[in-house]
Amino acid sequence: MTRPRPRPDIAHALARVGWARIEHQPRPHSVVIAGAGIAGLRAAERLRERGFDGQIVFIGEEPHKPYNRTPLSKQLLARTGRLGDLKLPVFSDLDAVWRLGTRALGLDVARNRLLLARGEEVEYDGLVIATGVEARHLPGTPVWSDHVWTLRDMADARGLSRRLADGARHIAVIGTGFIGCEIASSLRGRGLDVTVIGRGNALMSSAIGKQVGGLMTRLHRNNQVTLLLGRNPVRWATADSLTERPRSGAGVSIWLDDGGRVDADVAVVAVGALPATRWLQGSGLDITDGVLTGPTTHAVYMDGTTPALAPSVVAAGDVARWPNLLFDWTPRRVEHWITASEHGQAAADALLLGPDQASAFTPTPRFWTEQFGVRLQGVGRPGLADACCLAEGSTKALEFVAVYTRQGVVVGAVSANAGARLLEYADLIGWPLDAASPAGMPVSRTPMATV
Amino acid sequence: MSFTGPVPVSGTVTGSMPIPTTPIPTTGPRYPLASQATHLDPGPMTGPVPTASLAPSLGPAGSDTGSGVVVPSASLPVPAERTGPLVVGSGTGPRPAMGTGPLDVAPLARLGGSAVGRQSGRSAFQPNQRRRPGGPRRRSEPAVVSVDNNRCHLYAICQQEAPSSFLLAEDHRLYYDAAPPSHQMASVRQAARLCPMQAITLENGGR
Ligand SMILES: Cc1cc2nc3c(=O)[nH]c(=O)nc-3n(C[C@H](O)[C@H](O)[C@H](O)COP(=O)(O)OP(=O)(O)OC[C@H]3O[C@@H](n4cnc5c(N)ncnc54)[C@H](O)[C@@H]3O)c2cc1C
Ligand code: SF4
Repeated sequence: MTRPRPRPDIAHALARVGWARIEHQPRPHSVVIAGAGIAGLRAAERLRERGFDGQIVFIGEEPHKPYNRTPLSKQLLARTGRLGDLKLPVFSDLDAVWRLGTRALGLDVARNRLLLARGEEVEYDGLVIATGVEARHLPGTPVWSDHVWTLRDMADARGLSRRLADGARHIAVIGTGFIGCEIASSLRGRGLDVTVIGRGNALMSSAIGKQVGGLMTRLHRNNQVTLLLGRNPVRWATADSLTERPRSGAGVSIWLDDGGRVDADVAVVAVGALPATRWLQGSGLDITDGVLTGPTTHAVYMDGTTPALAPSVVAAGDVARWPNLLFDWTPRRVEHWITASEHGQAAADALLLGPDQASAFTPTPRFWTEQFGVRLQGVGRPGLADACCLAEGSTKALEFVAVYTRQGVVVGAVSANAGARLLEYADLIGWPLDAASPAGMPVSRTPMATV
Repeated sequence: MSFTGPVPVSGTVTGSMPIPTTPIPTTGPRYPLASQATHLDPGPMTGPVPTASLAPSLGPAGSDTGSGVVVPSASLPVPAERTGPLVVGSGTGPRPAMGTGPLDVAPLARLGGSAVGRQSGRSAFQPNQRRRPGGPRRRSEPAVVSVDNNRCHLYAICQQEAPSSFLLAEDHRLYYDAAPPSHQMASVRQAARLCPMQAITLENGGR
């Protein structure tokens, strides 16, 4: 399109205005962020950083503004931290409308509207879906009981803490993921008796493999956590149940599939999480295990029978399932706090740029956890690996870096008490772990022994 | 409804090769590890983490590398022994190994301006030349960055986000620039956002 050369007469001035109108792409005036968590917060912050001056509306189910969830199972439960530690820094003026205590109930992609209670509709030009995940339950678990808890948000943390302060001595933790292990460590640090019940044979093995998981298992055992691994709960009884009460006077009794029984004052169920997508049912978005998006974080919806990208809907954080092209084209969810922050930022950029111009979101996933004073940190997706080797350090001293490979290609690394050393390994992701690789890799190929 | 076909592609990303997400650092070696090859413990990997292994990538230890480099004096100001909540829970089990040195943070600015002495041939802190392309460190600016000694658990996320302003050194201490130049502030802010312990505070939001 070539513009006519401007000439200083009124007709041409008018024509120029016409051109400007045609070329002007209306910018989104209103962005709605569903889910006031870390991903939503960082999306809003990034929108303002980029100079977006329209309206930002948060629709958040919790009555709080975004806070840091990660200390809930660590400092808060261990009582080494304060509530103020949950504060998050924000470096630009968000000037947002906060609709807290408000649940999004539905989405009309075709009409650009979010549906709330009492038939209210909120129109948007851009929507960020950041509703995170909800704690999963095992079938048959008496979730309503005052003796059975999950830990996802502040309300859970408060309720659980109150229950624990009520003279609880023995706590059963169901689940051997990060959160279950952190809970065990925090409570053990308070001198409480902790029993961990889990399906796998090593703690956190789905995330960090059975070798490093085995080391952590030993750490927990050495710290007098009772581990009942390779077992599942099959029956429950709670003191406040009408039908089945524990005979021993315990708060909760859990029968296991090996015939054993655990009596405890409180049980905490930490068996993973499910994406909070129920409100998106029937919206046309693909919500099998999270909101499916393309590499740019734009949501995939069904346009008739063909999948297409919704230019005004992006998803970020734990709820989103997207292909991280750093690894491959398989869409996956990531439940890490740092990644959720970066995801929110990328989603905001994607919303402003549109699916054609936005670049693919290809973060190196990073996570950390701290248990019994051991700072475990990871990059990449160690869970995808088929092999794991010790790169440096000593497993005995619990100060090491382990590198994870899939078909010889590095997919991740995990360090214990050696955060600074991990940095260098992040760069190796995607390259073969081989002395002849372009990286000239010096990493030892000693396979890590299973403990 | 479930979508199983290929994800619709948009943008210019194609192919299956890894996409580098971080800008390639200046002209130094693309893979910093390569320069450490000889320093990794070649044995059965049971000894302690080799403490000298980071040194080669930090530039020549012996040479006076000029004005951009802050060299600590022989007597580094040693921050107080940490008293924070990093305590191992159970009293009875064997205490898991921690880093050997005190877990400490120290603002770089406070190290600057001091003499150019050396500690036994190898200084405890050698600013990373490759990662420190900036000019001479300005010493007069007021501190805007502070790291809470009691909160920082040395995860080094800050160093990943802002390598020219944070350095987790081999002595298990975090060195940081308390008054980073303005063009670094965006990455310092990102470091403060992503710090797992939320230990980094910026005065007036870093502006
Ligand atoms: C106890 C605990 C410890 C953790 N520790 C670590 C750790 O050490 N390291 C790590 O990397 N990660 C950790 N994580 C994971 C990390 O917290 C998450 O990855 C991160 O919070 C994800 O952010 P998000 O914004 O995607 O989702 P969330 O933080 O879950 O935010 C989603 C928000 O949306 C709200 N919402 C849900 N449905 C609706 C709806 N229909 N309408 C409106 N609002 C809705 C929810 O109430 C919630 O407030 C931990 C998580 C927990 C629970
Ligand atoms: S990211 Fe935070 S906790 Fe980690 S080293 Fe930096 S300041 Fe310390």
